[in-house]
Amino acid sequence: MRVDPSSDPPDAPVSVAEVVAEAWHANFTLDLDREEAAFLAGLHAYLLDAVEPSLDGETLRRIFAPVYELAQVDSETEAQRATNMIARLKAQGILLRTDGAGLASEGEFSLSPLGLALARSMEKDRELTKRNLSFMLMNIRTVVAEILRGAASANAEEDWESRVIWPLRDIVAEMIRLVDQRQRGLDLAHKALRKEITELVDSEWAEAIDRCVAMIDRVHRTLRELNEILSEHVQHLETQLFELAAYSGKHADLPRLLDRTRNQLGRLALWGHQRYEDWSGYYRNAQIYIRDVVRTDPDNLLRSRLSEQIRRFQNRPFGLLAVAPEPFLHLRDVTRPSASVVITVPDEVLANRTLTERVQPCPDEIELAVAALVERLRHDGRIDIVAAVRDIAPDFTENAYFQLLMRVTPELLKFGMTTRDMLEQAWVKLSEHLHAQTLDLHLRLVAAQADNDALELPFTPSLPVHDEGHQP
Amino acid sequence: MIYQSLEQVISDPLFPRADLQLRAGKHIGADYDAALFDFLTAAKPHLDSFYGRYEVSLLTREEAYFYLVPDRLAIPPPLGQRRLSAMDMLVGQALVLMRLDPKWLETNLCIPEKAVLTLLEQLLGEEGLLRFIPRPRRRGKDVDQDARKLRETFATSLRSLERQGFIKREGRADATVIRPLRAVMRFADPVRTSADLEAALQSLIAQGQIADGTDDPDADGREEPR
Repeated sequence: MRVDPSSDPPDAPVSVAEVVAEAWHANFTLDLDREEAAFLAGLHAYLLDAVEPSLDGETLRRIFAPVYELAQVDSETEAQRATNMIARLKAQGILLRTDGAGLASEGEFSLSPLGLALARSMEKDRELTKRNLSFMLMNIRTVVAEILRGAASANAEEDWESRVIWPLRDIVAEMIRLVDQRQRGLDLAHKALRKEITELVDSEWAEAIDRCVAMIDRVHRTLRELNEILSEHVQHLETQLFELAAYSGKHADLPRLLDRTRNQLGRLALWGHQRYEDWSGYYRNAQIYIRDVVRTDPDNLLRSRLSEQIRRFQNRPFGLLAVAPEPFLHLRDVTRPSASVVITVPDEVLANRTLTERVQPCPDEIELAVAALVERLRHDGRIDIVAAVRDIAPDFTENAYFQLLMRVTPELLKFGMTTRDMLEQAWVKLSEHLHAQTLDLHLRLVAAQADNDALELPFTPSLPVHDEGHQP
Repeated sequence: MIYQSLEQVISDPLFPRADLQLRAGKHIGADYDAALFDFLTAAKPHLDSFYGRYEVSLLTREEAYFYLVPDRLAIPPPLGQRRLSAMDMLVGQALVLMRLDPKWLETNLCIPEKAVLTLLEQLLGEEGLLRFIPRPRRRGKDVDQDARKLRETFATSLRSLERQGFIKREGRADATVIRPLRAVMRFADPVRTSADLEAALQSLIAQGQIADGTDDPDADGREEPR
């Protein structure tokens, strides 16, 4: 199969936004009432069997006659109404004039692609059956197998276009669309069937059971079969597409087309699964309904008695009883959690979902003092902790002194040692309520020199060199 | 699973779940939790005597669900007792009516919340329905406030019915739908037979299934232990 790539229409817009914008600017509107829809269906039905693909004015009016009769309009004559309707369908792009004869003659008309699509959507014969679904899916498999062979042997760009890209983009996509369309048709049919069953049960009650059960069973069976066929064929098609993906590097458009085809196939398979599940739910509920409601209440009196009970409830109230254990008695006050706090996260952070900049929090004054004291021990070779603390942090509160001593002592002991017995060291008053034991430490020279390179003093890189008397 | 003794029943990992839910007033049907329902079906002969000691009865109904009811003579009931509020009762009965309507089969028994309120309004009228909401004593009518209060009371009832295993709710906000479970058929008990409604109610009161009257609309539906 050979085609001239240059004759292909330009690619359709790819994004949804582009399609929306294009449709918006096209200023396209559609206004189709019941009468026009019926007329359109009639035109399509006529064209299906006609030799000529076009309709002249006389034929249009003949097709309009039964529509006029059904609509029973008194305000206009049949001819006037037919003329107006043809004009409206023409204005909306549903009917196309095909003869190009201008005002001189009445003209020849045909259905536009839009008119054709609308008419097809009204067709009754659009259901999926086991046979036509198998046929359509088998056709798709055959075409994809041909595409696979084409991909294996194609070399020139022209070969790729005609044997792989074009069939995948247009033929396979169109075939899948046909299945998709029929699936939607079947959805509509099932919806109508549910409504029919409801009306049947409502009007005939127990008499309708057998017919309803037969209808429900039939659909259940059909959906199960369709689902099985879809699963089997889609699985095979996915394998074929997987094999085709091996040639992705040979043509730039192939990966995108494969993705699109996979998605379309996935949608077909999902439809089968979802509809089967949904109908199974309906099947189950209908069986329960027939067993629990219709068969146990053959005269259909329960509903009317219940309606009456509700109406009389105000005058004769009652309540169902059930167990309800007392909740545990709390002997303490239960504090409710505080209300949640709304944090506003900047849009760019949400969009990126990552932090672009990390900021180290500033060290607090106690950390700075610890670093300064450690530095002093290393610099001076000895330290009296209490005196040095007083010197470095003269303005600290009692609480801050306490925390500083708690934190600095183990840090200093890493580098220094005392030569005196701990018990001999005096307790010194630091403030009115705080006393601390003096600790006179000497630098462990050998250890300090040996580990000099490996030492990591808290925050020393960011601190200036401390002299005696320097306050953080 | 066939249980030979109560000990075997209690040793089953499903027992604590079933027990806690039953004691919380839950109705356990096959459509609520199939595993618990199967467990209760198999264990019922042993559980009858077990719950008998708490002066409650483990009941099962033809629609296939279990629940506990306090014995009528147990004063006070050791496991407590709750009488459903008036709005709970109305919503429950409306849901049974909808479950019986074949129209809702079309949507697989998924009923929009608003449809329940609409049905109640059709049956009772706007004024009749507003009688079942707590209304502050005030002069004149405040239609907006009444409507808001009605929606709140209705929402509270739906939560209460869901907690007790009568319904399940799916979806969010305006798209929320209710799926009435089999246990909701308990609300139809007084009209199951062709007997006179009053006689049917008296019979159910005698069985300890229902209690006369309803709680004050301002109350939360829980009875204080006597």
